[in-house]
Amino acid sequence: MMGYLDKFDIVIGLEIHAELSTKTKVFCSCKNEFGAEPNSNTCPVCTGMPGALPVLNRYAVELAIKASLSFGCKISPYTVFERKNYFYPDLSKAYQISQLVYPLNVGGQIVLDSGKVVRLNRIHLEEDAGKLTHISKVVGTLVDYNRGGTPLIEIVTEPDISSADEAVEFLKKVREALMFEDIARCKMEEGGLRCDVNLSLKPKGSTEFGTRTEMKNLNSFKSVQRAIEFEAKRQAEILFEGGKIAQETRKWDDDKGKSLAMRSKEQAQDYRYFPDPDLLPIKISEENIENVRKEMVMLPSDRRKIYVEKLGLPEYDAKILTSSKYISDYFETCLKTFDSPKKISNWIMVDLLKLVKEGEEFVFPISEQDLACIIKMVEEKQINKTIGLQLMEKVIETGKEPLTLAKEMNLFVTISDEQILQLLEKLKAENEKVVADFKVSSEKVVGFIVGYVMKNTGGKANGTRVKELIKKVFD
Amino acid sequence: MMDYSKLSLIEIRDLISSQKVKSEEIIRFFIEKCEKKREFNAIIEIFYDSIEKAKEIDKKIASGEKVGILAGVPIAIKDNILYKGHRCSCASKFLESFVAPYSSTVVKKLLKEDAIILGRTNMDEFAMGGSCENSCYGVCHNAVKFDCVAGGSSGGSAVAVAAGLVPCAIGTDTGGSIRQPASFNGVVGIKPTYGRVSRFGIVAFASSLDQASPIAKTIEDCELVLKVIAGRDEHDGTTIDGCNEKTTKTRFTLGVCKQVKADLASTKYSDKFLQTLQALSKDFDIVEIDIPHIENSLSCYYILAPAEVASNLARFDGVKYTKRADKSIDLEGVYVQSRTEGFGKEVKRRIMLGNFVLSSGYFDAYYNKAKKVQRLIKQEFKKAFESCDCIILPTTLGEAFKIGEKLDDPLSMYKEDLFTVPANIAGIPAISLPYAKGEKGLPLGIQFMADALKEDVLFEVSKRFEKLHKEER
Amino acid sequence: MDLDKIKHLEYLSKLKFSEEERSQFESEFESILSFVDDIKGVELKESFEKDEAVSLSALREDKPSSSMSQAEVLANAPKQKDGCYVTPLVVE
Repeated sequence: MMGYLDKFDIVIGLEIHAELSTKTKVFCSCKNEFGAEPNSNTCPVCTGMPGALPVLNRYAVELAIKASLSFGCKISPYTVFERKNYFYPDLSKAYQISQLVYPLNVGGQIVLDSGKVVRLNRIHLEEDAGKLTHISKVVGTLVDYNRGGTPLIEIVTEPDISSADEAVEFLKKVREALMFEDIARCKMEEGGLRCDVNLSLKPKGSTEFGTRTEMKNLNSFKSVQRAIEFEAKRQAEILFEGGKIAQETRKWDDDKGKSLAMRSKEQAQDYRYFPDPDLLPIKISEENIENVRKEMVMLPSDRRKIYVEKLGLPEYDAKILTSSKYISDYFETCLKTFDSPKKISNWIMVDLLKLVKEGEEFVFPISEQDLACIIKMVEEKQINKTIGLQLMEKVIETGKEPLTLAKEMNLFVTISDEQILQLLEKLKAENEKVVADFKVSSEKVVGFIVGYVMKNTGGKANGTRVKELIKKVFD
Repeated sequence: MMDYSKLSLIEIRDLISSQKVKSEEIIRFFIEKCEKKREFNAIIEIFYDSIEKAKEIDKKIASGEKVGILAGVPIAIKDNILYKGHRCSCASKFLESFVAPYSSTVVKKLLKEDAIILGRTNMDEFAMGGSCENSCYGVCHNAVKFDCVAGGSSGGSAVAVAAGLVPCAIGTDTGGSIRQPASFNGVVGIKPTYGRVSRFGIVAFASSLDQASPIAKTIEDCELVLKVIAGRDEHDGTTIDGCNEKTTKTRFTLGVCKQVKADLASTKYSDKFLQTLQALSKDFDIVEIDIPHIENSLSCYYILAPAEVASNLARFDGVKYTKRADKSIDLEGVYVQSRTEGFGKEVKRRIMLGNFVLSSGYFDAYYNKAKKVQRLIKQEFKKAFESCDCIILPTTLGEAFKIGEKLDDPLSMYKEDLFTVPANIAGIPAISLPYAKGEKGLPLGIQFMADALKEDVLFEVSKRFEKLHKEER
Repeated sequence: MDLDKIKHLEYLSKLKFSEEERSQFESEFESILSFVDDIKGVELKESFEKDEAVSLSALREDKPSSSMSQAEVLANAPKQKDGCYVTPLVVE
């Protein structure tokens, strides 16, 4: 399909920006919140007024440490905030507070399902910029600083990724881990997780890197996938024809499905980084790190291991149950009411997850206790699975407790042995074929007979008991 | 009406609190004084709402309500300190119409003690300069000799106090901007330990060096007002706790820096300084100290301060507040025109210099090296204070120079900061006290520096010096 | 220091000088730079790489406090529309 591309290896490095789930901004006490009136969550600090000073949010640092612990980074005992100086209207102070020489965390890695290791270069803390809305030549561009000063972590990988699929898988894993620990909400549609892609090609087998291009602010898995595929193909075509790749920043246009070179700057950018004199360097002690570690829930990978080894769940189940912290916590809470992991797993995976849309934030419509209670009734044969599902729907609909509802709905009315025997006798008298077949092979017709009884009892007969009674009547 | 202009802040405070005089009378007196002596160009705006504020304080006092320790006393603020609802322009065309949307911590603390903010004082634009000639409001004149400079950058604050327009004014000191004008006008000015006073709401010049502090007629006034405005602030992460209580020490050692002594030899008031030193030797132990790299302070300063300026002043872009070049059609045009028209020569010079020392290829040789040398100098000061309580040296090379004399020679102007800059580079407290008169009757200041956090020692030594010195004179 | 360098600094500083100012600036710059050159000769025996740091616990708590009103924020803006600051149209 992409003929030229066969001749090259793709080299990709990612820079992922995630907005941290703090209550306040990183350098002021304004709310960190999406969707407020323009410039209403702002103050002298985040609008860059004269005399305003940044004051660092401790929780933002702790969340960044949490991210590092999730990815196995080394947390620096000494970290410094620097100013990255450039003029742009979304940057109220004409500098962004970021980190360069002494980032909070260095190293770390994420292992893809194939076993491939993607190394992290660093994770640092910085502030987000405001929002620009370009109206028209007459009106101009509108500037809203509500988002300005939102804490971000920037996760920078080594150029270890070699395909669009790997990039997307990596991104999904990052998102999963950040959401699992509630480090970041990662709402991609709100720009809560964005990705810059650095991509270059090199002839297959070569060790020398080619010239790379950068595509900024991709904010969906699909655009990451498409942008990489497009850019790799574009570069391959140029290189194959003997051309040269320009080192440039390109803008991905999702609608047109292609990337375009951004207006090249007449002068090379020189960010003139230097330590921000308003923010003293931060010491991070072992104790600080331990305190953060203590607050962490168990990581998905650790939970998965326990689900498989201790609870005896299949790998597949374990993976789905740990796909988010919410599902994982939900599952574990269910176990407290009814300790039957595989049964609960089945219900969650088959019957609950189909009720929610993939990719969206969700809450299961039934509480853990209620679900576990219904599963328990089914497993203890007080009701059968079909009734159980009906009961679940009713619980969701009414919000009443399963036990109360089951009583109201008369679900527990058990069918007496006499009623079953009567039905069986009736069948025996009316259907000679069943009697004959039973003599040849009882197993084949038992199912049919049970079904007959269930049909005539509205499914309320106890299946096991029916089977016992069949023997009595037909043997 | 009595002439309150000769009284100290504490004397005025006592008159008000003992209900001998109403705050309103005091405020009206000083307003009249400011209006009459406009020729100094020290006060660039009188805040007339101060009269209403004074009436409120008078009411409080009359009703026996508890009031703050600065109740009813007028204090002026330098034009780079924000006071909500009042203009703050940093003596720059850029901010001519800027109204402070919030109050600085310094102002809040003064108001909490019921002080009355009388007006704003002239300064060098964005506090850059040592003469108070770089102001969009025009030159500020020396209080003692009209054709001489006020000194700077807090020239307006020093002149206002010296000319009796206000008993106390807040200035800011980045490389000597309080001490040098205090010295030029014969008043007391202190720069505290870096971090002692919150910088929140003070328009930044060089963030790692800036400190706000009082200029007043007496050491005690400075001590009191500093105590009010000092302390940790949740809006400034570089602040430290308030000042120590009075030191219990009774005998002090003064250090004379070998390197400063050598520099002094070529100045005209070297003998005066040495005589004074001689006279002090009965009551102080005097030792020679060695700060090998003190002379590199000035270079560090003229690298680090512009670097911070370049970044701190980038926010003045014509988009968010006041000045915008309306002819510009595109964004770059708004930036360039607003800044080119809004900033004065000296400010532009320092922005350019700052961007140079930060720019790629020069960063390590200039900014980074200066930062390292600064750390070395800090360490050398620390060591020097192991053998002395205070370092004594003149505040300036000489008396106030003529207006216009150094305007076209930035370097000679920069060199004026030789003796004041080291305290900023080291982050230590320093005070300038009037101690002698120069050739034209212009005042000369003497300077004491103490170790970081030792303002208590600085004040005690200053008071002893003053007592002895007065007896001497 | 040459004219190109000065022009680049003007670009970084968002300032524009006239030719005359530029040449005056050039000579002032030369003298200032040679004045501060003494630091290059300072030999450093220790590394002096780091400043004193504060501990994590000294930092601000993550507790919201009230923001300014939109009107207060925009009070000094030369141009505003729909609660926003306005710049000439930015072309990306």
